[in-house]
Amino acid sequence: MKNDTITGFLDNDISFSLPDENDEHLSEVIKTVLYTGSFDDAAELLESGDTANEKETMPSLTNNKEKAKCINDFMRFFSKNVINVDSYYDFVDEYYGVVESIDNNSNEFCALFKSAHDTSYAENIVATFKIDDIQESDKELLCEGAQVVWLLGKERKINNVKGIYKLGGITNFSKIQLRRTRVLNKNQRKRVEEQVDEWGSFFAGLE
Amino acid sequence: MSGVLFLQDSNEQVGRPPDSDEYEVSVFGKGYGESIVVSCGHEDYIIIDSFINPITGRPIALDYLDCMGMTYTRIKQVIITHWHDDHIRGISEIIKAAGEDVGIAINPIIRDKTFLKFLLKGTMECGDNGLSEFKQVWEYIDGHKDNVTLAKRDNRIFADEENGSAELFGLAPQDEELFNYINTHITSYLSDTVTSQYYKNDNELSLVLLLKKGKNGALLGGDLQNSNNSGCGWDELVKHYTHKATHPSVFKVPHHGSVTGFNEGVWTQILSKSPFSVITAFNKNKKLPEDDELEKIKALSQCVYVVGGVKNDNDLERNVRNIAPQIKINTLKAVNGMVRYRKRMDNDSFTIEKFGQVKAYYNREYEQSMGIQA
Repeated sequence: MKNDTITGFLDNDISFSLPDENDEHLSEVIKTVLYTGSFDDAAELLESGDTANEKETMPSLTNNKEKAKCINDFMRFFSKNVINVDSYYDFVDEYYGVVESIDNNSNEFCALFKSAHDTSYAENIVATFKIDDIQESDKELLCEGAQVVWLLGKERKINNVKGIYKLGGITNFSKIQLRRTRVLNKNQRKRVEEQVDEWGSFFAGLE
Repeated sequence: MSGVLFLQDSNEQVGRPPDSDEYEVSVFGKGYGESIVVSCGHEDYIIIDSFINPITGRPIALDYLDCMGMTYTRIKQVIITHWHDDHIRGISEIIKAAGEDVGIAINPIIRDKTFLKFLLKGTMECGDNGLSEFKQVWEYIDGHKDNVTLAKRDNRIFADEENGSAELFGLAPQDEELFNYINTHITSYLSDTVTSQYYKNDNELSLVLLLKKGKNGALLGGDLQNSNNSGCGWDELVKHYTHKATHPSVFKVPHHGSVTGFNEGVWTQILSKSPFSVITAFNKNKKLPEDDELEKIKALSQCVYVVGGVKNDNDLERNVRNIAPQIKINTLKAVNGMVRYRKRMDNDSFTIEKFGQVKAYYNREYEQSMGIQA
């Protein structure tokens, strides 16, 4: 980790830059935090001298909740070394859903969600939003069946006080975004046609 | 593995696997999701549809086999009645777990090139979303083409003639249904602006299955509904029912007991008098079964079991209210249930058991004959 930048660590365009590229200890700490997935575990690992540098594999934290916790821990303990960040998000949860109905009279739409992380829900979180809650550029995508992502959490401000970054106030955060599907290029469309022919012949032969 | 199937803290046991001379139909629900485990006898299993067990994060059918100590290689056939979300979650995991020889029975609409294009284009466009389950099944099929069969009217999907096991037949869809569906729904789908909501009518194409052993068996209604289109829906199925000597005494009621799934001819011409009826509850945008329909089915059945349910998650609702009070929210957490029917092949003895979240509504005559207290 020569260039101590962990851009894209969260999926929401949050990036950190570390001021001292030569601070090997800090690099090691970050790497170990990422490796273990928690600051507490990293602290124990660092104390034991068995750091992540000795491991060949880097961690792959699987969701924003884990990542946010990791960053939260990191910033709490190393905030003076962090620059170029004015806030970060501590997610309560993330939900994936489908627009079920739109009521233009009340300017509302209803969507059915499932938690991105908790499988115990029967895909049965029903939420009603104001149409104005979605950003202008997303409004043209709003229709029954459209895919939506709902992020719900808290935004923590980072304040720069005399060169030292400190955690600031917390505000609630609810954001709903409509998903855009990929537009296929010419080659991909051609590939679809080929697959249709290929599979069509196979299934046509089945009794 | 006790309690894993139904409630986190429960000690409810599902007990032994069926004896080799028993066949079994076990219907699972969780308030939004349906899965059926069938044993035709001799420890061979067929899995019809799937949902994810909220307690373990795995397909409920695999958890059930685990609980009985059965290996997944006993799964001989996996059947997908239709591609709706409440029927397919985890189906690819079951197929992969069952091993190289498992048969896969799918809906014959797959033969239509327009439909194929819709699926292939959708999986490429959307990446990892609701179509991902289909994509994984598709990838498996790609390497196991010999294992695939089409399930439709009067196709025998499973039989073990050597051991005299129960047989499984397809009763629907009919060819007319396929053509009608393609003409009315699929063509419009290819426009770039429409979404999968246009595709929600494919209950018209749900598979319906008959588990048959002599005069008895189980009718598994999938999500098939009545249709206004000629040649489609339950009316056509009743008209073309060819297993005239077989009158099933167990009925997996179609489409969660909805009014559009109810067809009088099924009760008067196909089923035995006063069967055991099993409904999987549905609690998504609307709640099924509705009270009126439940009453109607109760009157025609010896007993009706409504399997699976939901409960509110007050903590999450409170949390959302605190963070975003302007949003109206209703959270319904899944609760598993199962009804299991086992019958000896060579005589009339059977058992019917309920586990986890199951509401049983007994017909008064049956109640009195069995000494059940209301």
